[in-house]
Amino acid sequence: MSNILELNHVSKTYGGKKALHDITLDIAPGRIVGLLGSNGSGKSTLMKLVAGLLHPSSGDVRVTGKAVGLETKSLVSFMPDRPLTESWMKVRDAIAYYRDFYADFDQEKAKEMLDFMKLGEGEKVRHLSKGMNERLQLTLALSRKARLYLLDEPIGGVDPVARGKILDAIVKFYDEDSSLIISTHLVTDIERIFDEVIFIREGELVMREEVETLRLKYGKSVDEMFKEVYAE
Amino acid sequence: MMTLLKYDFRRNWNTLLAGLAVLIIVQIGLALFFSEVTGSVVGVIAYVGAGVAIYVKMIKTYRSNIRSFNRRLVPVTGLSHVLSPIIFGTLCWLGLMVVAAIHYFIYSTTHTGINFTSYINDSGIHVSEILNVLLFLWWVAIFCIIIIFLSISIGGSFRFKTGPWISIVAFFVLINVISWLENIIFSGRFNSNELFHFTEESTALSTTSNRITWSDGTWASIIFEIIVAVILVGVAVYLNNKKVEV
Repeated sequence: MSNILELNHVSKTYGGKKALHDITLDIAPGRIVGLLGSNGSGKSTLMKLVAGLLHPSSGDVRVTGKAVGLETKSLVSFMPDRPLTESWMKVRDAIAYYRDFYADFDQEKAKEMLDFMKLGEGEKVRHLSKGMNERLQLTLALSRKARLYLLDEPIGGVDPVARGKILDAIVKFYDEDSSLIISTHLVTDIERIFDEVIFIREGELVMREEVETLRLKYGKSVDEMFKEVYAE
Repeated sequence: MMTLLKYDFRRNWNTLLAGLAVLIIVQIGLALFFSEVTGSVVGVIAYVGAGVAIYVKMIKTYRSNIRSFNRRLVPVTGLSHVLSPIIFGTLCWLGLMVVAAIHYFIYSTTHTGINFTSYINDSGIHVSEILNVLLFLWWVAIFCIIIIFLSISIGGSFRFKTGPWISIVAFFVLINVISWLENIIFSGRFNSNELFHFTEESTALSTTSNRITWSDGTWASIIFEIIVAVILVGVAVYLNNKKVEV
C-alpha cells in the first residue's frame, strides 16, 4: 500500500537558523506515530510543512503522493499548538465552520465527541479553559475523515485528568484507515498509544523505531529511550 | 469563496453593527443639536469616515486571512483569499450607501427647503452619470487596495520582524512603478489629469445641460489598470501559495 506521507531530504531554515535538516521519512497507512523531541527540536516545523503552513527550503513533502498544496489540505487534519477557532465563536459555530469548509467533516461524530468531551454547543470558545479548548480542538480535528491527522502537542499544558480524557478520545475516535502523527515531549502519558516513534533532535532525525522493537531489542520503554536520546 | 466571505462577515459582524450604531447616533445627534449647515457637513464627513473604516477593515481582513492558521488551513483557492475581502468591502460600502440614501430620504422629507434631487435635475446631470462617478471611485479604491494586498503579501514573504516595513516600501515602489508605466504608455496621447469631460450648455438665462462623460484617457487608464490589477492579483496569489508562511 502506498505511503500516506513522504518527506524527501526536507530542510527548513529560518534566516540562518536550521530548523530541519535533510529529513527523509515515510508513514504508512493505519499507523499512530509519535514525533518526539525536546522543545525547539523541529517537531512543529515538520508538522507545519506537512500542513502547508510553511514551505520547505529544500526537499519535497508529499501526502498520498501529492505535493503539499490546495488538494492536500482536504486530506490532512491538523491540530496545531494554538486554537483554530475565532474569539466570536461558540462551540456550535466552530463545528459549523468545519462542516462548511471540509467536505469530510462528520457532524454525527463531532456530536458524539462533544458529549464524550463534556462540551456544550452553546459554550463560548473564549470562555473555555485551556483543557476544554484542547478538547474542542481535538474534536474538530478528529471529526474529519482525513487521511492524515497531525496533532501538535495535544496534551501540552493540560492537567492529568484532561490528558487522560484526550488520550482516550484519540484512541476511541481515531480512524484506523488513516495515519496519525502526534508530536509531544510529554512521553510518559502518551506512549501507550504509539505504534512507532520518531526522535528529532536539533532538526535532525536521530531514531525511528517500532515501539515493540524498542522493548524487545533495547529492553526499554519509549520514555526511557527518550531520556537516553535527549540526555544533556 | 462564498464560505470564506460568509466567515469574513461573521468575524466582523459585531464591529460592523457597532459602527452602524455609532454612525446612526452621530447622525441623529447632528440633526438634533447642530445647525443645518454644520450638521450636513459633519454628517457627510461621518459617512466618509465610515467608508474609510470599511477600507481599513478590508485590509485587516486580508492580512488576517493570509496570516492566520484557521484561514490558511481551509481548502480554498488562493484567489478566494484576495477576492473575499474585496467583495466584503464592496458589500459594506453598498450597505453604507443604502443607509445614506435612507438618511437622505428622511432628510429631504423633513427639510422641504433643500431638495438635492431637484437641484440635480435642474443641473441636467443624469443619475447614470453620478453612478458612473461612483463606479469610478469604487475602481480607484479597489485598484489601490489590490496594490496594498500585494504589498502585504510581499512583506509576509519575509520572516523578519521588518515585514510590515517591507510592505510599506513595496507599496510605494509599486505605486511609483505603475504610475511611471502609465505615464510612459499614455504620454502625449491623453492628459492624465483630465479624468472627466465637464461640458455645459447655457442660455443667457440659465444652465440647460451639464454633462459628465468619461474622457478617452480615463477609459484607457482604467483598461491599463485592470490589466495591471489582474497581474498584481496573480502575483499576490502566487506569493500567498508559495512564499507567505504562518
